[in-house]
Amino acid sequence: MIGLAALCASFSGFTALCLAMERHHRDVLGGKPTARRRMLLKAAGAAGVIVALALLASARAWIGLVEWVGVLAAGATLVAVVLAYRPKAAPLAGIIAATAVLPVAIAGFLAS
Amino acid sequence: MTRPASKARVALDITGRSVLAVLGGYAFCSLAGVVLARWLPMSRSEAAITGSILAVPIFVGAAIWCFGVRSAPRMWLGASAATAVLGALLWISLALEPIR
Amino acid sequence: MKAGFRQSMAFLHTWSGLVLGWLLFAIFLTGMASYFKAEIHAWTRPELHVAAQPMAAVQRGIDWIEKAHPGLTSLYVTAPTQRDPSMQSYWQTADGKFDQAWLDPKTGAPAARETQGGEFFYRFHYELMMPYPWGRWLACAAAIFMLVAIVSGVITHKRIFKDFFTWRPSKAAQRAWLDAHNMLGVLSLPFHVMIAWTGIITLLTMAMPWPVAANYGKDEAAFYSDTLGNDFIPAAGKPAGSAPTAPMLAAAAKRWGERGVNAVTVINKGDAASRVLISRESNKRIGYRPDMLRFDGVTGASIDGGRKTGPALETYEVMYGLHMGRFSQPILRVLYFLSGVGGAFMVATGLVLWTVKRRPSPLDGKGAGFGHALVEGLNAGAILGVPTAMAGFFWANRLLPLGMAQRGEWESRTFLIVLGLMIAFSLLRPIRRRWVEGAVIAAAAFGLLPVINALTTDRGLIASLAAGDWGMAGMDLTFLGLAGMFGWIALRVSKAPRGKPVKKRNRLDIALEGAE
Repeated sequence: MIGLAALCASFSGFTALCLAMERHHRDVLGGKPTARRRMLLKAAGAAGVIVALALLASARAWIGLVEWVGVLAAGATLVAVVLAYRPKAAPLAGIIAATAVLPVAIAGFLAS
Repeated sequence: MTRPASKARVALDITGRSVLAVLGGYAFCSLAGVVLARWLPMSRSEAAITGSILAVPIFVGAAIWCFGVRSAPRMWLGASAATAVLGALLWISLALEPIR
Repeated sequence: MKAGFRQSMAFLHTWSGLVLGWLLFAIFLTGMASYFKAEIHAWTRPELHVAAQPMAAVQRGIDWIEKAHPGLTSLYVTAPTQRDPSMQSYWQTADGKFDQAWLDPKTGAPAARETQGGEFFYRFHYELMMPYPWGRWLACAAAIFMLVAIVSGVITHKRIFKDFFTWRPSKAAQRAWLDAHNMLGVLSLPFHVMIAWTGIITLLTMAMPWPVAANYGKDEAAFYSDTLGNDFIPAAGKPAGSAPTAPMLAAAAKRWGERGVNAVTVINKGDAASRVLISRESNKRIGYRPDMLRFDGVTGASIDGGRKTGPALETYEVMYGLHMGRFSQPILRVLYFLSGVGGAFMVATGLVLWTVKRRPSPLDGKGAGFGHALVEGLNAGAILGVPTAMAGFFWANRLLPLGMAQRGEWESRTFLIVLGLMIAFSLLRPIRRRWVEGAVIAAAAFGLLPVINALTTDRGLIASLAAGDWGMAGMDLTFLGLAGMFGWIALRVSKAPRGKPVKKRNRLDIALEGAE
């Protein structure tokens, strides 16, 4: 469960980082991102990555660190796949994943 | 060199680099591992393990260098110099404390 | 100068990847299978069931081995687990010869179906079915080549951050293959560096013995006692009685739980210096060093271990543990598996990309050179052949008669036979057809496995789903999933565009047309 929450955090974080890149922003949302938007997206991306680390490290210590690397790779890959086949769906997918993080994480902590 | 190299020359260059990268690379990283094992300020098992583990990226680095260096003569020169330095370090350590 | 360096790195990346690419592909796939070694052990021995009392089963195993081989000097038995009902065991007889068997937990005797099970893929992964030590050296070489390919790949990939998420499957073939190759390589970069480096670490004592030799000279035994402690003491040469092992197993079970025991080792049996070592099943830490209980083999008394430790040794153990991935609970094991899949696809896309890029256009007036045609054929032969050969192993496991002599060997040989046939087939068929037909063969090979399983045993997919047996069901479902994947590949390749209007045709289309 916690792994799933971390995956959601990773996926939403990488979606944000991806959209902060000019080429992808143009393909998905249209137009160049403003400097402010880029900063916000990058911050959101960093937040997702860090939240994933926090969740896994607190739940499983050093093994959690290894899982974190895996979850980052999985999240980034999912973003690339979404971008390849359904680019316009990327922002919504990212938002859904971001909102799922907290409830799934809570469920995970309660279950353990 | 601005004139295009002949096919034979290119083949020789690549062969030289490959041989040095593979055989020389292994020899060099083993030597580096040995020097680390003998010089690191740790117990002899700890130093030996450290040297062995680090031999791997040293091998990779040496192989990359063999292909990245600009010309074959430069490569042989650099390889010899590095090996000489490591060899000297090994020789000194053996003089200070022979292998028991 | 920079451009020259990048170019030489591109050259190095291509060749370090190609020279051992097919081998790396096979090592990747069998490595991935090894993360599910326990489930494969279970699937390949459908007669065995999960032991309710593992310690009693281990004792039965020890009793059988001792009865069947009086005068043996050492033995080793693993406990059955919930994932793997078999008990892997080794023993050494008085003449110094080793032998092994997988034991049935119910009887303690060897399982009816002689097979290597998951061990086949595990040993292939680092021994490549070659005699010691050649296979291991080749596997080490493959790992070094992989690391060189990774580093040179990163150096040469100018747009590594810009293209991080870029994958355009609909673009012209060469671009799509390159995108896929880059993406698969970059996104799992930490995993690939780790797995290659730690892979060599698992073979370090063979591949890099010089630092130890430099510090210990001829006294190699001192290094092992400095690191492993003094568990494997030499025999004293004085005969002595043996204490019963059942109480020791009970003590271990009391301390760690009934399913907490991993394996039992008895050394110097019948000698005054006999020891019984019981290791703990542990997925709680990364480092590959189990907790141990030690007993005097003569008196049955408990002994303290003499293990030293240090940062370098612990680093070695963590690196070893990272490669083995034994600590990984379900999610992490799946992630390891998926990273391995990604890695295998990365190697495969690289191999295909090389041939696609260099496929000659018939408009050039020259056909494919012999070298190029050979590589194209071997690509398909390896990429489709290795998985099909793995399926072939499972076919042999179900279809070879139980009492057959050297049954286990013949299962392993089936792998090689199928691989050889697939390579030959691939070399003989035209370019596009070999991929479609090969993929269809692979799909059938996997898709029919659950059917064969259901027909030849009572543990088919429906039965195992009904019983909640996720190990068995998971294997059959994976076979079906792989069949689906190969079917999809066959479909995609057969539908690849051909005959577009002249000015829009790309070189791939032209080349494919020319090849039929």
